[in-house]
Amino acid sequence: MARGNGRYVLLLVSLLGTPIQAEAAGTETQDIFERHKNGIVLIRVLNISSDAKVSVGSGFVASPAGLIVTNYHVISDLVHKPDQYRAEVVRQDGTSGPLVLLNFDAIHDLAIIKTDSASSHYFELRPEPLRKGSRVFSIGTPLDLGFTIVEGTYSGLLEESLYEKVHFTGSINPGMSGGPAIIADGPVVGVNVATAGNQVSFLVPAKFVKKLLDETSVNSRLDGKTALQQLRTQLLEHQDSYMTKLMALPLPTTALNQYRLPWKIAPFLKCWGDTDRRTENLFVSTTQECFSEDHLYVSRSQASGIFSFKHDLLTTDKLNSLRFFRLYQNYFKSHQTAIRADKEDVTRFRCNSDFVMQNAMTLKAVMCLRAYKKLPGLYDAVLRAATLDKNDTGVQTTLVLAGVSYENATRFGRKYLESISWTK
Amino acid sequence: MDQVVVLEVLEKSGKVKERIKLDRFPVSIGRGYGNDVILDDDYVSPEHLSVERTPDGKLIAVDLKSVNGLFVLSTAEKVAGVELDSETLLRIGRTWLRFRKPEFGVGATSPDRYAAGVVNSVVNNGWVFVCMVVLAAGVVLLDNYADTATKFKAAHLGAAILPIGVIVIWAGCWALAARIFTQQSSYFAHGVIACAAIGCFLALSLMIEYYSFAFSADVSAEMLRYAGVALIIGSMLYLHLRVCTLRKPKYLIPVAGLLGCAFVALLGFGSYVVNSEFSDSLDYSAELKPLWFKWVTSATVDGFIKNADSLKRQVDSLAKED
Repeated sequence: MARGNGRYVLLLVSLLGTPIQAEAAGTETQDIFERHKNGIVLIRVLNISSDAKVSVGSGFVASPAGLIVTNYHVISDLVHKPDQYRAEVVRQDGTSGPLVLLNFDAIHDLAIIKTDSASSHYFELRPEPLRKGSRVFSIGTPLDLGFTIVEGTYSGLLEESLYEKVHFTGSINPGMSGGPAIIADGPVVGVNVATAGNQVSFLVPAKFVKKLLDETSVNSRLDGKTALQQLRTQLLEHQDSYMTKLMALPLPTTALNQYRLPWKIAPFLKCWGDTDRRTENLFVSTTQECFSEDHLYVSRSQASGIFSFKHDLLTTDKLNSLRFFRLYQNYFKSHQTAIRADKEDVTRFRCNSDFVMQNAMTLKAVMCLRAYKKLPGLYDAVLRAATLDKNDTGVQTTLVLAGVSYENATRFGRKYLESISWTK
Repeated sequence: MDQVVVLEVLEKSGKVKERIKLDRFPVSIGRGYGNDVILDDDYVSPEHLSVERTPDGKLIAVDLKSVNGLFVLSTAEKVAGVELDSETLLRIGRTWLRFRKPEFGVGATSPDRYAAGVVNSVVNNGWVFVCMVVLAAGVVLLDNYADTATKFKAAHLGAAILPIGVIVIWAGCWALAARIFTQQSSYFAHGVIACAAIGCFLALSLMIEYYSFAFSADVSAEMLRYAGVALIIGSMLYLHLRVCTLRKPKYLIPVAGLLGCAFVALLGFGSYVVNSEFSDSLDYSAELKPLWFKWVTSATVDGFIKNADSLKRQVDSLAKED
């Protein structure tokens, strides 16, 4: 089911993207750009050994002291592999200086950096939300093509999101990550962060930028080890916060045939469903799934903060029980996790399986766990369960929790299993 | 007529290649066509050896000043002549010779399991082979049928092509080996063994699936699978070797057993290598069968979730390893 499954594309340029045309700007837009261009910078991440450019992003000066704001994902290489990567800040006039990481907020995808001599021009912040429909100008360096300004519309806060974001109707493009989105008279309302294509883009609200700036001092330099420690703390606190909220909520259920299964527990979940009735199949499969549309960017190779579950109902009136259970078994074995991670980030999964008695119904349940290597205390967990009571019908359910503590994984796993029931 | 002596021409392995009755002496042996015994060996001289009876009745071999000489194998010495008894082994050129008297004792007769036994009449029989191939293909197709949940298509029958091909080629290889070692290919017998092995593998995999489900036992199921594979491979090799070499079980059982175990060790090593590589696959073998195959009691949700503690310990220690 492709619908809605596509995650947002972060605006980081890994120098592999296809070139795009910079927006043709009107006279007013050009004026705005001229007024503010000195506060905009280009950020280049380079491989230390080859000195080759690995990725580019944008940033803007946000304080009189010369603190620069960008996205966490633009500089995440400096957090994970400070021995392999360095970064530089390129100013409007073409001069560049080394980038120093001061602070970051991985949850809202923000980072504060500085360089040796910053521009005197800086942007004010406007933490209060705008009216829907307000004109907003997004500035950045798409695909390393030079500084560009894009006009669009402020379409309000995304209310049903695990990570609060501003919906911006305008074409912000890869490389504009970290650039400011401003209103005509100057203040920054958000930071360019991601696009879902077709003029659907997202900004980090300025209130998070203000909060992070307030917490950052000019001298608070983060080295590799402290940065990783900070990332770990942020991820742990974040998952604890939303998992605690989820645990406190009653888990609603949906009916699938005679089974009742977990359903949309929180507004940030998007839920979909479909039935596959291909004529060559001797069975009918119905899928229902809910997932958080957004995920957390941990590093170039790793995603986290994913919360999703899926139910597959298989029914047949044409297969005997031998063939039905073969089909059912093959379905159960074919699951892919789809949580992005490398061997440097996580261990292999280890799994336990057992029969579980729940509401007078026997389930075959599987619990799989893998640990984050560099961020101890965080795990990816997958829970699967299949009903076994009928010879022509069965439902299999899969819960995926990426980047949670062990306690939260097991607490929610228990709640999830306990909510499954059936009527005979 | 002199007393008869039997000259045995031996292969290097010790097997008798040719037996020639000698009833008149002296007997000349060599490569030349004028000899009484002609040897087709380039290292033997045209007139190489003469076997003579001495006046006192003894039998002696005398080198006729050949190029490469006469050797007594027990001492590996080159000699001009030697007195012969039943155990003397001579070498001229690259040919081994032994002389035996007619009254030399032979061992007890072996019961013939091969020529008149089960192997030839039943197993090495074209019809039995064809029936077994059809049976094996049928079992494979049945397994494939159980595995598909789409409407029947003629292409589904293609699943039988590979196993039949494997049987035909596998039996051919063994038949070739058998032809070399026993001068009899026994193609059908090897084919029947291959068919039986395919059937056994399918039966094993089915049994392990049900066992694993019934007892919710992934680990011991894996152990049983390895043991089963070793048994099937070992038995198959034993039967092939038995048909191929006609050697006694006491020689073949350890060889086949060892090969079976070696194969499984290789499988185990392969699976270890695959498992030690990073992968984001979920490794569980959760078989699903109708509930009445379940033999163990179910856990409670709480008990099941608590079991994840062991997973945590495992992945935590994996994380520390790297």
